[in-house]
Amino acid sequence: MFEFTVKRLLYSIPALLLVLIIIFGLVRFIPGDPAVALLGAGATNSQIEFLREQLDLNEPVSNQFLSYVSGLFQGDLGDSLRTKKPVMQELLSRLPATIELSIFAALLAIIIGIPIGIISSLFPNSLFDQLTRIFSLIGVSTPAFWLALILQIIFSLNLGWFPISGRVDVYSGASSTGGFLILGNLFAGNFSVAWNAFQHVILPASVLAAFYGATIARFLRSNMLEVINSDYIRTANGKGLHKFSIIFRHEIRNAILPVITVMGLKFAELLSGSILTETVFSWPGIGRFMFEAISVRDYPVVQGATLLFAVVYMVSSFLVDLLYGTLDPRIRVN
Amino acid sequence: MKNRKNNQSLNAKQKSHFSETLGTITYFLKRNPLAILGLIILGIIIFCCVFAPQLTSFSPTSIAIREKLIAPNGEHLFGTDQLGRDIFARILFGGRNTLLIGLIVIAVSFSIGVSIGIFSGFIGGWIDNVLMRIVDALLSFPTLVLAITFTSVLGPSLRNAMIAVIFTMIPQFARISRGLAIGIRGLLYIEAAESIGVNTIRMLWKHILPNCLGPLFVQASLNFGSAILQTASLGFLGLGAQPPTPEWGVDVSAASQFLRESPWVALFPGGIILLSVLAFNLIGDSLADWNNPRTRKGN
Repeated sequence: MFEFTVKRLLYSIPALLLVLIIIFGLVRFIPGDPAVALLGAGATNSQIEFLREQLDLNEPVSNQFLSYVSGLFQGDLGDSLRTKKPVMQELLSRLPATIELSIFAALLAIIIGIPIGIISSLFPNSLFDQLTRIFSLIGVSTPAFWLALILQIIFSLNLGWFPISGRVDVYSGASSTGGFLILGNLFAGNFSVAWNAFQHVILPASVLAAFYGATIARFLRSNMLEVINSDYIRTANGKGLHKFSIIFRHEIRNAILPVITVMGLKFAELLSGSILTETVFSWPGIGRFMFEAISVRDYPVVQGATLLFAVVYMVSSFLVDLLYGTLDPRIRVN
Repeated sequence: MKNRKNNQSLNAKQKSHFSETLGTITYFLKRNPLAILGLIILGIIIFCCVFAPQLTSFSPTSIAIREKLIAPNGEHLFGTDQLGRDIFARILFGGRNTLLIGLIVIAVSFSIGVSIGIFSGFIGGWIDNVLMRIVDALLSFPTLVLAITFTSVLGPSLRNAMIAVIFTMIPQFARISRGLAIGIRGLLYIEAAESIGVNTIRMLWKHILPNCLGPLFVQASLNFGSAILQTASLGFLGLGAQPPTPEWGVDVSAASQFLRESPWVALFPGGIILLSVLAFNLIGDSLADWNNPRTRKGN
């Protein structure tokens, strides 16, 4: 297991290096002088010179890259051009909001997606199966930004069940950038604030869960169908095992493994889906911050957020591989 | 005389091949009602977009402020938007853009990605290693993040949004076609072709590519849907098509300020995105199931 972990870690180094090169190269892709592009045509020479200095553009490219990487190792992603604060600090202060939203979305998706996937595979081509297939296809086909607006129209504007946007109401006394609002306040005993924050998370989490849950259900269904047709299930049937025992101990156990991979890999997609969802719901997380940064061409922030998303993706695929090794003995041996 | 006979038998062969294909298609459709549904939806959308000028007398871009935000009625089927433009007309003409975008994005990323993939898989060795590390790195970005980052650097425009989406799709096609090429490389007929001295390009074009196409087309039809979805998302964020160009994602975005009084402005353009992506997914999903012998048995 140790050897596997080390090998897998070494394996991800070239990919990480390339990711860094791509992100580093981004600002240099801008045609002409990036500093001029950022400041616009009306900038004075001293302004341009200052920005070039700030963006480290006066050094040779190789030195720029080295200082970029060594900065990274010290947790330095540069300063935001808009807020003038370190990008790392800005990102970290918004990370809990995005994580909270993603975890709720993932939970919602798992609770709905897994049972639906299993039931529909047990009755292939039944009415339930056809309906869930259509609905899960609708789930992966729906534009997240549109679903967000539709949920706002129905549940906030017309029914008034949930708040239309934001993370917590101002009058609750909590700050919307204050770490993990729901769990934190739950443990601190501020039940009213936790409840308020919980009501806010439902709609955006549902938007993210629609795609994620539908993906889980679809994937689990097709895996279950593959397993159900395999020889060892026929053997289990032949030796007279109870139906439930076959389903729970033989089929689900084997069919769920690849689903874990997909869940891990799609978790990064879930996070990136938060760019659209957070923008519509004014959710103060990484996604909305990145969107705001793009509209004012705040490149250090765009670079930092892109790197964060890529690293989350690489870490989650690393964890998936490790988890997979522990869950499936066949992979551990190889 | 002999020549003509040969021609005839060739014709007969082609005909039987053709009817065989037709037979497979009808058989496939009979067993996959969802694919038929997808084809019907897609057919209607394409028809409406192609004959847009015949189907509506309104212009998608002419502004009539006095007629803004009219609810759907007999004259304005889907109502009007905040500038008094007919939403039905905007959807029809916007669809032309959207479908064309999808087609171009898929065609370009398919050609580039598959070329890289089968070359890499067939050649193997260090070239394959280097190419696949690059593909791995590109696949480490969530697709939407990669597309957003590219457009933010290139500048917001429809063309740049397309380039960005193409960039996110190339590694996907490359990864899949490489796997397929590696599987085919070990087969006997490739060894035979190699032994009579077939050169690499001919090998890839004539022997490897045709045998990869089935699974690749399935992937292409699924990716068509996500190409539309991503371009629309970029449009919604203001990074894709720019107003007044009719484009579905942009139209939803413009509508978000009028949700309370005029929900239809957002409802229809977004709904049509959903329908067209769904159509491609219905077709692609049925094809994928069909191509997989293990799930096919379950059907």
